[in-house]
Amino acid sequence: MKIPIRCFAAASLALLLVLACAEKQAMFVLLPDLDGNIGTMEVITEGGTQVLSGAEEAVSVTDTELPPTAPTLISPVELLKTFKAVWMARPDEPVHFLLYFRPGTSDLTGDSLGLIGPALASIAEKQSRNISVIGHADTQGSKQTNAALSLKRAERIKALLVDRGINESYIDVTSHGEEDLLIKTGDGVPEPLNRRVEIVVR
Amino acid sequence: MTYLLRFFLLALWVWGPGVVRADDVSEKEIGFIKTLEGPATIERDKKKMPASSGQHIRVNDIIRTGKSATMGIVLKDNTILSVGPKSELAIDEYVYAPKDQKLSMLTRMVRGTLEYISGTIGKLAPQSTRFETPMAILGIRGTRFLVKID
Repeated sequence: MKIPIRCFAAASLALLLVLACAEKQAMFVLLPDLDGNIGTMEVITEGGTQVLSGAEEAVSVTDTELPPTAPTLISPVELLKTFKAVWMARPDEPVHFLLYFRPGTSDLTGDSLGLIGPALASIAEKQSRNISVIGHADTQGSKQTNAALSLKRAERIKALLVDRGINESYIDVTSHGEEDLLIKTGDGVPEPLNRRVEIVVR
Repeated sequence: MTYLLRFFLLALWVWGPGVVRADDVSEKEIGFIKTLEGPATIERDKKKMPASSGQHIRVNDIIRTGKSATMGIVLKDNTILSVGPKSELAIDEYVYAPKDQKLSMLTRMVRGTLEYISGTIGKLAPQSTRFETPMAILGIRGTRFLVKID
């Protein structure tokens, strides 16, 4: 028996309408960051806003013409059921190493030389192919000198890592001169903690 | 002689841009895929390619995970995105230049599940850190959150 085209078309249209009207839903849950600090979050629809400010607070949106539901606490059991796969996918946090330099040079302090080993161990443990080396300087000297010095420091650390077997293409080098001080000082102030390179291992 | 010249100019035109573009590429890269289980794709400039662990992500890449696939992404500012199965999202804006105090980010998620852990951009410039979904947009004050979109 042949189905007339118009019956097929009507059925398709009906199906499309049903699918288009299928309930869309969204849920948002606030969690503390991995250090335990909790921030806040606003969830904004056409209909209004809800603010989340406590750990495991959740809101849902089913109708964009209404504000999200009032925050309720979501149970750990339900969280695990919904987000287990997400948590299994979570990469480990990047690991940071700070290495310090003698004034005006790209020579590491004695203590800092000892951090190359742990940095290499971290790279191996994470099987990392994504390493950032970021150079800095204190405010002693001109901005231009410090821009060059911070770059030289970063390049020095990269060279040390490459010498110890890390693939050069895994390492990206940036430098911030005296623009990104760890300890805020005035201009022309020697500060050992600002004379640094940060290694980030991802 | 003119033949040789024409050939040379053609060769330059075909291969020249490739040489110049090398630096361009690494600047476009905003992060990478750190973990990947199961099939996933990246759509870039309207072309879909299979995603692979270690692959770099760019602004506007559309990331899609398959039915039982999961993916973990780490961005340059150390934002961590953990993506569940049957999900789709893109980072449509990403500016990370802390030296120039230029920080901003926009994530657009269409469906699926996600854990978002803020990095430097979310912590230093929460007002410029945005997250959009089809039904709601989020204002984030530098923290961690979960999203589920059906």
